[in-house]
Amino acid sequence: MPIFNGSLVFQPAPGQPVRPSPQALIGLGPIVPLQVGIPKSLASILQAASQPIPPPVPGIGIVDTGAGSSCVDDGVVQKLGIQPVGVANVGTAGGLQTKATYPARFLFPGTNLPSMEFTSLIGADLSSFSTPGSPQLLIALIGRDILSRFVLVYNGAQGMFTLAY
Amino acid sequence: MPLETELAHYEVLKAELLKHHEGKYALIIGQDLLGVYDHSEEAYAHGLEKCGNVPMLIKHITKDEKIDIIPALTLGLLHANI
Repeated sequence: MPIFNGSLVFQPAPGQPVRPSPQALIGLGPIVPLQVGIPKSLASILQAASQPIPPPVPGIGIVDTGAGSSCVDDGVVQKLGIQPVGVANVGTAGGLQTKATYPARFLFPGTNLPSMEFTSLIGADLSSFSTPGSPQLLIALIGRDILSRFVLVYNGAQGMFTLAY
Repeated sequence: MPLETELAHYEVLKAELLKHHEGKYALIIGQDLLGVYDHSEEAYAHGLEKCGNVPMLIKHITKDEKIDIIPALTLGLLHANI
């Protein structure tokens, strides 16, 4: 079973061992290394037409157990040339908002989690969200639709979490 | 709004689609219903094959439209220091 053990560390003082920080996990949440790429079926079409296949866009995803549906950054799907395939009605304090949905492939570099494809990720501007302490851009919110494929263990006391597929 | 033409066409076809294909996925590009599929992945592959990488509507045929609740997005809670 592919397993990813995640933790966040603050830069320890010189001479101090590096260890997971419960405070960092409280501050940032469970962060997963992520690349967003085009779906395989789109890659096949581009390849057949001798068109270049855009490389996956690297960043991070945050596991968001409060979200029923997962989101991908609008800028990332535009960069990859992925076209919308639907709309989602997102409930907000000001009423319903219509957002485009996109297909995409998620890859988890540096882990043994398998890549997986989705056909209805909600496009959202995630670039405005800050992730202090992380040099990488937030490119996805991993909601309960994706988590339905995983076992998630959140060990707040130790500042760690585990995703098993 | 994205896919406005496709959504309007779906509304025209909705009653008929619900009658015969509830639970499946309709593929609409422009004002053409290209097919009805068991899975959204099939619909996407078929849309790409027929029309290439263009905007398309892959619509789950269902009576009740789903409302997505994403507190971090809608309330700006993603990095709140409470």
